[in-house]
Amino acid sequence: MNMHDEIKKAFDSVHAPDELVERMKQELYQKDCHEEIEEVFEVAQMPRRTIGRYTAYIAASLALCVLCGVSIWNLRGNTVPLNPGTTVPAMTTETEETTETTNPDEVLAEVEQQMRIDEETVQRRQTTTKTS
Amino acid sequence: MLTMTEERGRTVEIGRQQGISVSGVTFAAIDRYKDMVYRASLAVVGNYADAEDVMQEVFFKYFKTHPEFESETHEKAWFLRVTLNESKNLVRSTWRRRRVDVDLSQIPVHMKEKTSAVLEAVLSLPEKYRIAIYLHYYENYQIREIARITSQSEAAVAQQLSRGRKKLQKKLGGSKE
Repeated sequence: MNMHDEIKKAFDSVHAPDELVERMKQELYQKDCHEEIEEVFEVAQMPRRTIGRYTAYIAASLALCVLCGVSIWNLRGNTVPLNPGTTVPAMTTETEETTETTNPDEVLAEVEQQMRIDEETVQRRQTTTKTS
Repeated sequence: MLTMTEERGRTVEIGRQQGISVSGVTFAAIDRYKDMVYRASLAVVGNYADAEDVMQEVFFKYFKTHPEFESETHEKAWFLRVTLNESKNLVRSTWRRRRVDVDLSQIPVHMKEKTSAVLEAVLSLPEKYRIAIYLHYYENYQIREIARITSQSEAAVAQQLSRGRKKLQKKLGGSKE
């Protein structure tokens, strides 16, 4: 027997294991059934890109919510509590001073005095021009 | 109201009536080419366990792509090319390179008695010689066809065949022509 025949005979003795072939067929059949079901009922599979986009939207919304929450929480710490017991004493003197300067009687008196001074000045000027 | 199983059964039946069944076509191909794919992958990977993995990969690929062929020769060539590519991918995979094989587990029990000295000698040759020898001596492909299938030059294939033959003769005791 030559090498050609020997090799042919040797490889002829090799066969795919029946058990494996049967298992493979079963798997393929199941896969096929699954695909057929999807085709017949038109089971729409969400594309991966859409899933990714939705995930990104959800993540962004969540981040925004967290950011808002943190900001509100921080603002809450900075507010002055409206409690009558708390003080605003420094303002009192300022208010008093303001009241002094804005007293209408005094303002009127000041204005009248200023007007009097002005009139006297005008009269003095007139007399000086007549004598000259 | 139908149960889930009844519904599935009904759906499969509808699919069959419409001629959708892909598994039927694949089953026929499996029956035709299972041994060829197994032998070809064995010639490349050199052990039975990996050859089984490759065979599954090839038929799953066929099932997924269900390609159409002009002729049976075209179909056979497709299976051979895909088998060789899948086998080479497996041989070059990092996982396989790092794996340590136990020699005893390489030949399955059902094959141990049948494995001849010639087959063992062929499988012990380097990968490139195994492929050339298998395709030339078993599948009866000419050098030009082997070159096309394996994407090599004809000169390279001729050299592999010649060297492989010499090595094989040496391993078998130099008595074979």
